[in-house]
Amino acid sequence: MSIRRWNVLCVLCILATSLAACRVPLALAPSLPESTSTLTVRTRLEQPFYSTADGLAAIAIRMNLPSSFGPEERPSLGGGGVLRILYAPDQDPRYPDTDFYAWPESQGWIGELLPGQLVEETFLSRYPYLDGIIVRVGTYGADVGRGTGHLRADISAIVREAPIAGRELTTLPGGGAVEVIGSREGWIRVRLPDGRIGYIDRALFAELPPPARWNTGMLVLRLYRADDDELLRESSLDVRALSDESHVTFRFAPLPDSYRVEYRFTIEAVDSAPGHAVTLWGDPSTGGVIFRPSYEPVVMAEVSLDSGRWSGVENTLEVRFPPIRPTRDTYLRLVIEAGERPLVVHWSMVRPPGNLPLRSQDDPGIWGAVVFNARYLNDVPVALLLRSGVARTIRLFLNDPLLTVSYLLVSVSVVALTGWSWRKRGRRALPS
Amino acid sequence: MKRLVSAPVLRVPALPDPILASIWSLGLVVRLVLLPITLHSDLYQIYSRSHLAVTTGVWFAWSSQLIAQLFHDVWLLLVTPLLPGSDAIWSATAGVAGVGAQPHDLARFLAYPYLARALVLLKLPYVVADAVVGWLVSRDMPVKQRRWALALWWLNPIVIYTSAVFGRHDSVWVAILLTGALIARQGSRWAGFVCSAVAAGARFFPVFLLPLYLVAFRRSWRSVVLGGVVVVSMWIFIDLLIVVRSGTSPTLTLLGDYPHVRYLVALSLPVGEDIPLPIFPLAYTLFLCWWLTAAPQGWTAYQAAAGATLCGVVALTPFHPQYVIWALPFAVPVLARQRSGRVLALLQAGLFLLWLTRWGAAATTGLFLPLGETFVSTLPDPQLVATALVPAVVWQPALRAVFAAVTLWIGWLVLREHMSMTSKMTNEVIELARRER
Repeated sequence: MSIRRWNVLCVLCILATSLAACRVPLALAPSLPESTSTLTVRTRLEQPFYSTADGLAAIAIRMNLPSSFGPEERPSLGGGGVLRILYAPDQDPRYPDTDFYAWPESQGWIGELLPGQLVEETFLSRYPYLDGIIVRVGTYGADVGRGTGHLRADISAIVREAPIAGRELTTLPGGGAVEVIGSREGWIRVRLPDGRIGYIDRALFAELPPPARWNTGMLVLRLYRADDDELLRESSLDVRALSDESHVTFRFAPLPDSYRVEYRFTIEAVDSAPGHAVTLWGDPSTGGVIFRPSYEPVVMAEVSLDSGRWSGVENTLEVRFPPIRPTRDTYLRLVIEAGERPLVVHWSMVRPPGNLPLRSQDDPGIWGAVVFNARYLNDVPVALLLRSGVARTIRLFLNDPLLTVSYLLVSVSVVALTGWSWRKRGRRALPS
Repeated sequence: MKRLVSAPVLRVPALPDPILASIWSLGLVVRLVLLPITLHSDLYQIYSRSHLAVTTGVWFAWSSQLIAQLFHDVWLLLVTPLLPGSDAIWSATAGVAGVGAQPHDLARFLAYPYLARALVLLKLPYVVADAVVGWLVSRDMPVKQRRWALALWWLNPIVIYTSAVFGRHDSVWVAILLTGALIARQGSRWAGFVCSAVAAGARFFPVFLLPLYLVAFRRSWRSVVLGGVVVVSMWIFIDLLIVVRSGTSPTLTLLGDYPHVRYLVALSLPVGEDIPLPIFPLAYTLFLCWWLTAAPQGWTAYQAAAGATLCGVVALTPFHPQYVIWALPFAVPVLARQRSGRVLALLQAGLFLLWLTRWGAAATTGLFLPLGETFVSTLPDPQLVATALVPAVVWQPALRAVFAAVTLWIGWLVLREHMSMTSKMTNEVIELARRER
């Protein structure tokens, strides 16, 4: 083969590669929002956001730098702080269980799960490293029954509106009696003398009413790949260990390649019996259960803020890392951990895509978001785009023969007229 | 020899210049390709309102775009027989200010089996208007300049984008405005004035040209005053008529609700703590005073003033740069004559394409919605691409400044050519007078 042919071949290869995947830089947001104020990060700051593109390669955070450093301080941009990028599937609102704390009245328990009864759901996994399925179980009072409970004498008990992180309703003195009406997420549901319902940490009780019943058997979850129905994972839970009205996770070995794969799972009760079986929280209108997939937390990028690049135009510190994939159509979480000195980070009432607030350990009252932008190196499948664009155009015309004929007539006329004018050029006027 | 000289020359119908024919063909092919695969919701909204008007019979409901709406109403009425089963594709809320067409309405339109035909038919008047303007601007010019003039209009990305891609109706009114000026050039001043007034009624840009028109095509100063009085009286009459009928004043509605009025005073200099000095009204009034003082007459004077004024409107206000198509028909004949003018026109078009990225997917990749949601979502948003390369706080103002500067310079070129012609003629007259003495 001659050198010229090789050259042509090389050019064609480069062209084909470019057409197959063209990589373009892309920002998360068109511009940085106006800062509302600053917050000081002494420990940890989290900001979840929705990522539309693939190949996250840099994060630029607006922050204040110290104008001078003390004699004992090491002059550095990030003060030894670290930025991490993780997936945030727990913030993804596209699964049936959208709110950990919400138990809407439109939903309810699907009834006792008895042997032979199979619960089945299909879902699209939007993240890699799928490692479990979270459902809500009800034990019909198998961990605590109704009656009077006695609080521990050595400590007062905070009553919350909701378990774990609910708003404080009141504080009860230690050693008192309280009416117990059930439990949720391992917390004891109580009725206060004024009629209000609240939750007290189970550990604060010296004595609780005996369970209303006892359940038997196991809950078995089987996970299949939806397209070929191959059984991938199996996980089981002993129903005796379950708390009433609580989230439980069927945990299994992570599936690293679970990004944008459709799965099907089944849950069945083994060795249960009527009156001794648990139930699942579901949606009576669809007959499905309320669930969300769980993922192994994976740190996709960890980079020192000291390695960042300061921009005097936007007052941002940009840290770069090797492009992370996949990040398209996912919720991500950027985590900033302060090092040897606190970091002063700007926040704004304008939130990034996904509209999620920041979470600061040092200043938990802020509902705004960190002022930041992300930069991607996104692959654009040019060949695929061209193919689908042309195919769609052809389909538009195939649907409409009249338009197609009109277009053909006009096109032929235009080409013929142009060709004719070029053939006859120079002939303008003829003397008689 | 004598016989040959006196022999009559039989003119056969002129064969089209091949380069001109190629320009026409190329422009048409580009438009034909883009017409059925691009859509902006503005086009859908205006035709949805037309559908409401046609089906309910309420043709004269007051809106700031009444004349433009009437034009679309009539056109939709004409093409509806060619759109079978199209009753359900329009939005019922498109006419509700502040609500407009909803995404599910647009989805219904996009699912219409004859979507391509609908898009071609709905945008057809704009393309025809483009062609009319192209023909008008390239008439009466030497062949080479004619080619450039046609190319600078008919192949101009700004024109193609505005009419065939975005689906704005401005070129229809540009054609009427230009026709009006050319009619006046032939001697029918008042017919030309009516055309200009219709264009100004449809889109407000030509409003700034009406005083210039009256002065340039005047028979006497009395006719200028008469024209001004007629325009003001007509406006007051229409305003009062609508106040009586509907209880609302169009003038106050325009001043109070129409965002474009705010644009005219948006760019201003701070002359006091709370007193801004808007630049466009200042520049326009200064220009008008100078124009009334100089009071030049004729088509070239009007062309120069119109080109410069409309360039100024786009450059000194935050209007979308696509509205520079109002200035182009007046500027193109001048730009076509000068090499620097052609370069500036190309630069302006290039800057416009770059500026489009400022609007993000909504004015760029999102227009290809007829090719499918997946297709559009796979395309990278140009605004995000630009921001990833250069911070928005840098590239957007810089680009807008360069575009405004180029546009203003084009306006100046148009005006300067007229001024130099006038000055040359004056010098010649002075020289002749001196020789006669």
